[in-house]
Amino acid sequence: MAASSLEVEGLEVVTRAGVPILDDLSFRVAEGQALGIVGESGSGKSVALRATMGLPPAGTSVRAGTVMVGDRRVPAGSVTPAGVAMVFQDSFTSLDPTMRLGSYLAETVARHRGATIAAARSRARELLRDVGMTEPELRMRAFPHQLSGGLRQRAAIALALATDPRYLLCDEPTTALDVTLQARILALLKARQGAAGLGLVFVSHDIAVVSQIADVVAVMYAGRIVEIGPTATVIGSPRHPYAQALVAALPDLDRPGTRFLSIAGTPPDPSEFTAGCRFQARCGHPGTGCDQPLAGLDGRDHRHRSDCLHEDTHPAGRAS
Amino acid sequence: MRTLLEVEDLRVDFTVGAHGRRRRLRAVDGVDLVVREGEILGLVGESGCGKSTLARTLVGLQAPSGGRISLGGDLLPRRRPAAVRKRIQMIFQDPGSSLDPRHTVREALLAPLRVHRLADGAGEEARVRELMGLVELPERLLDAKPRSLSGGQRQRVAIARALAVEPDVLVADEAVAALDASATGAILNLLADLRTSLGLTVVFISHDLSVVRGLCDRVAVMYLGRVVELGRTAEIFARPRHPYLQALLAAVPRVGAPIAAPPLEGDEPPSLLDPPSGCRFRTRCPAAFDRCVTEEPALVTRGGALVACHLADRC
Repeated sequence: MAASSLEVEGLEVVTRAGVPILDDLSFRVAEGQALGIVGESGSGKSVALRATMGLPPAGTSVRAGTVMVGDRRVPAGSVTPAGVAMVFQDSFTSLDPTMRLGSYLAETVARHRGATIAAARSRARELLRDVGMTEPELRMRAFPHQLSGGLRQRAAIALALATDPRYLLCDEPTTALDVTLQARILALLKARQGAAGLGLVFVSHDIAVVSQIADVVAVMYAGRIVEIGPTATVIGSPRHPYAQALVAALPDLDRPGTRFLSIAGTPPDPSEFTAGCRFQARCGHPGTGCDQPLAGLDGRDHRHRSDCLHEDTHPAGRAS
Repeated sequence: MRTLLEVEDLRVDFTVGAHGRRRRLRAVDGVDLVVREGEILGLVGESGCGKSTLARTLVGLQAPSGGRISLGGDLLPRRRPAAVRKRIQMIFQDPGSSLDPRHTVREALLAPLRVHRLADGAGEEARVRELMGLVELPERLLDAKPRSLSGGQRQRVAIARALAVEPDVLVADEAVAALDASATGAILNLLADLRTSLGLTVVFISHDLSVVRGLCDRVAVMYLGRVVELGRTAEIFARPRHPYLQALLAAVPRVGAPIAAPPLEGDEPPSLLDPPSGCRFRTRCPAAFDRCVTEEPALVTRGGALVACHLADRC
């Protein structure tokens, strides 16, 4: 039997004015698997995670969709599904500023496991050690403002792991961190994925980071998945012009060029979303039929494909 | 190339804590640095290493506690008159907060011209349009407010505003850190082009080593307030001598490569309030030995680069 999975189906998120940010987004991640989602700001990647957790961003609401964890089905947007936890980019807001880290963690553990405070504190210490803190006792006595960004982010991951989740949604968890810390946190998440069979959804704008952690990559643009597939295939031979441009724009430490590549223009605002290809205004080689309505790709199917009608006609790796 | 900006034994102190528990924190501790005319010098290091404080001190936003800064051979006074201030300009990480949300692009560009009395009447409008051309922004955006601009466009406005006073040096503090991958490249290319077309000198602060590798001629690596390695980017990135630079480079995520957790000891850089004795990096250094505890390594020349490590010859 296939591993149990987290499945999000038909997610629809709208602004207060009724403008859809996501329409009919679906994705799946199995236990022990890592799904990476890449895209620019405004592509809807963070909104998708938050809506899955039942925490849509302020000013938006979930109009449709279901979340299935194993065989338990809940409507998206109203409740936090059991067994799923999330790590945010800004760890300061996920910790309680009035509580010492140890008490906050222990309380979460006690509530979740029904453990005694002493047992919960010992579990909290273990969690902090797991996320790479060398002096957990010292850190447990600290308030969030007394911790550096790197320690706070690790505390936030410990907090998310305190509920023994089977799936962890990570929204740019390392973007604000130095490379040394970033590498440690990635190694930590990867180890959890391997040893504990944690299912990871890892959202980032940094393709290099995603390439290191994800088994499957979905590229999002303007609220839709425009390309998906096994990581090495998508990054090695992207088919959608947007994915090709993103890969080409990546600065390479080992092979620096004389010019940096970029994608001209900006992504459309949700109020300008069209039924056809939403990338066509920035596309280096639009063809006929780009106005035909597209459904966006179903992220539950991890085979490599793009929703560009002309993916066979433009050479792989060419950027606009 | 001629030396344009010279920093000697620069120190910047802050007082932290309240009442009876005031303590001195030295964010920049004895930095010597030369910026050559027309070069792009990178400044890298982890958060808290003092790179932003150094940048703010170069621009005059922060007063030094000791040491000297000279520009074109002239020693800069502690309090800089307007004519000196305009020669070193700065752009910031988040142009969303460094631009006034109520001002149009035109107003943002006119302000420095008026403050420094650089143009008037018809000359003003011509100069504003020229600046828009310089940063490759369409003139139709002159009446737009920052809100309606993309991150990349806002950063271009910030660059144009800095260039309005024709500075000798542009200091860019994490200028692309808040931008999307698609906009980052265009801003970096613009900085490289401005260096060529205007002969602009740029001090580029960043934590992204891949970006620094592609843009900067030389790079200075800072750790806990000091420069630990300095040299031509291509050279020191290919052959890093300081264990800290080696760790930084090893940690950069690379497509297709496995995650490489850096071989650093401990979970945190030590506090600036209580820096380690001897070599400041020794508490995290995988190669530290007795001499590192007692003796601080000096910056010495090794193979065309400067490096502060007792093992410089062996690395």
